[in-house]
Amino acid sequence: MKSRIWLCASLCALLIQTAQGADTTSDTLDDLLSQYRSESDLSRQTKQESAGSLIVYTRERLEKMQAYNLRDILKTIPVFTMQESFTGQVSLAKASGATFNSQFLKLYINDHEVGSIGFGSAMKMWGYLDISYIDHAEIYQVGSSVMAGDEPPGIVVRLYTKDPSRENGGAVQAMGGSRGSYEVGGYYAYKGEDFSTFVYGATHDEDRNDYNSGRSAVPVDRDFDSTNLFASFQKGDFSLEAAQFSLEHDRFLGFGTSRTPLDNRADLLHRYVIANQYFQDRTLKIRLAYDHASHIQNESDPSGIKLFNPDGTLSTYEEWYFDKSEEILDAVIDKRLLLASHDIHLGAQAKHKRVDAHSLLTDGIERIDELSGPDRWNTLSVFFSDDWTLNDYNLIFTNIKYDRYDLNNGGKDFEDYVLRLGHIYNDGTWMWKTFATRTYGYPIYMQTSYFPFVYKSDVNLKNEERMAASTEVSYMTPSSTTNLRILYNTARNAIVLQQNVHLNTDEKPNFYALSASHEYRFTPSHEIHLSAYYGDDDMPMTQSSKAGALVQLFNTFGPVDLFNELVYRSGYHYTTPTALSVDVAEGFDYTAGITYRATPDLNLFLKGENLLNKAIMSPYPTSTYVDYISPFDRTVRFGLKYVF
Amino acid sequence: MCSNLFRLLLLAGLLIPLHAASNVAANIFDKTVDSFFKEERVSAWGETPEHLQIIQNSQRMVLTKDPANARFLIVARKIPAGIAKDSVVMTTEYLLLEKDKRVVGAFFWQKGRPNLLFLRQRLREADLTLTPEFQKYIEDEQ
Repeated sequence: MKSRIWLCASLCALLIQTAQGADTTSDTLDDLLSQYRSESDLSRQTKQESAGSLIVYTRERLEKMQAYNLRDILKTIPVFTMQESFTGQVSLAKASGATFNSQFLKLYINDHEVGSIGFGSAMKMWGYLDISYIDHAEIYQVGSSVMAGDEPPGIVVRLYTKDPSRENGGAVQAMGGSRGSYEVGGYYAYKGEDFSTFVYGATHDEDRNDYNSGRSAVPVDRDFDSTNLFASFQKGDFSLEAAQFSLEHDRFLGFGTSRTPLDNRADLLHRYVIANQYFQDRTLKIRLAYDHASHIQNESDPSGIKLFNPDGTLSTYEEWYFDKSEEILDAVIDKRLLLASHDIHLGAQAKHKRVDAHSLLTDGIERIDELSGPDRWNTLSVFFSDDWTLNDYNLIFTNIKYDRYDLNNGGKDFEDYVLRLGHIYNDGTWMWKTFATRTYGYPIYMQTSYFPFVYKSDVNLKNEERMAASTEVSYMTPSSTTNLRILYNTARNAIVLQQNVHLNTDEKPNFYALSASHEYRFTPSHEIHLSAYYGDDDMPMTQSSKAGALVQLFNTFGPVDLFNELVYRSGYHYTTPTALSVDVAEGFDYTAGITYRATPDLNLFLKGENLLNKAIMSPYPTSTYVDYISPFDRTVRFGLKYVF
Repeated sequence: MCSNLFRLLLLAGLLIPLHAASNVAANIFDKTVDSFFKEERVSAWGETPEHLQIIQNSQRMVLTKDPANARFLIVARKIPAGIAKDSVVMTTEYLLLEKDKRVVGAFFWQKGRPNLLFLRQRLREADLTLTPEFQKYIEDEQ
């Protein structure tokens, strides 16, 4: 309580300082250059207001937030609470609901979707992505433009890498932190007369607090190491990108009955290469992409790991090891037509996805021959979108995508579609967006294919159908933006996990959320972002926070940038099927950062995360007890960045 | 079609920010033109659509379609032939500043931020001076 009072008083003092000490706008050359940088932010070129309820993280905002990892962004997304699964994956829980760790969370880097076809969620490994090479980020809630997305979406995170034409130079960054953590990285961008190129590399070693459950003498680890490499080349209308992201992490509590792991590890690697070629004055785009991922995971727990057998019975083992790889070949053709007041995209996509299991051991016994179910998917899609300007202030948009899946005799082939309709009114001061989406989620590999695992799959699972709608109003002035947003979604045949079994539920949950935000720029040097939300569904259990809030304060005093952030999530309670009471207290995650611009090319920074050590906990219930662990350790980081 | 694209960009939330950036750039060039010429308005030529937008938004520059008639030129890839001897050339590409000695200054992106740079020797050779406000943006040629 005292620390909360202290925090509130400090933030109020900073707010008063912000308002009183605010400079009147002057137009010195330095001020104009700073204004030009803000007004030219690349997010203004990439964002698509028609693609969903949008939250933009500009480059300036990411730098002042000292956002080094994708988790720094994910934890601030309204209507969702960032958690970690009991196997150490980053996950998002929608207000009131259980962990939203599903294929409805999409992650794109420069229009390329990265994720796991086997486990569905992009957060399988990409939740730990370092983002020092990212220029800006966009979050789309309730749908995304189907022509830019190749899978049925729900919440979409779009990251855009730095632009060589803006960088034209390089940077090196080194950071140390609590418990011996460190991150080292650098990039170089070159823009010549005819071509441009960008290369980036970083390595990150994060040592996190061990968790002592009291049930074992061996503490539970959740450390991770990552290496990230990225390169792009552009010449005229041709571009090429290649990337490799590797992540080794402790699998945290794991699958054991008592969650007393001896040695849980995941060794994950994802590589991709993409080629884009534009024709016909950049109205025709052809894209070819190849992804390859390898996932090696092992668990060891003396309390026993219960795994399903092919006949649906359970057996207990102490060790589990799974080595598999995934491949995706993707080809897209997209033609843009500007006809009268219509901006039309139409095109087609062909995708081949496969999962190859190399080894699956339980207590050292190879069981690879037991695997069954679909492991190959061929998808053919056609899409159409139309942004139709009715007049100076009104636009109607339509997105349609039809998909046909061929499961190569591994399961039943199917067809499905995505439809989005919407309207935007924008007069430069008021903006009103409304849209509705009908989309679907098909069951993924781990839900339909059998392999010895803690969850029971079902090859006959049906697609789940999701409908969502949203309306929002924004009011914009030169110094502020205010937004009010209402979201609704429902699902039919939702794929859920009940008693460790994947099934289509007959329940039809209805989810509502109300969120509001206000950004006020006192001056270019002082800014505040406020947001709050409330969401709930009509399901009997509340399994995550219904309410949340975010306060971000950005202040610049000469060469010093200050950042203060408070992420609030409400507490909640539920009772498990085994009558265990889960009580999660409300959480206050306070982050503060200082950046000192020692020279125009050298920045020194210091950042403290979860400084109050009161960030919301994630509950990990079993049949007899509940562990409560926060996804955020109290951590201090310091470092420098040199630009050349 | 152009007006429809204009409306589309406006509705998509793009046009106002593009205008805003162009207006700020125009303010920067206005200060530069003020410092060089001290005249009410100066005829100016631009190579790219972005340059033309800046000149149109400017309070100090008047757009001319013939580079030979321009007192002030904003270029990107190359200086057009036949420009007036006493014209002043600036670029928005650092490469051209390095390559062509006739360019006295540049407004360009580097290291993730916009930069303003004038070369002392070139200003001297062109018999040009800038007001004290610009001194921190003047460097010696490497």
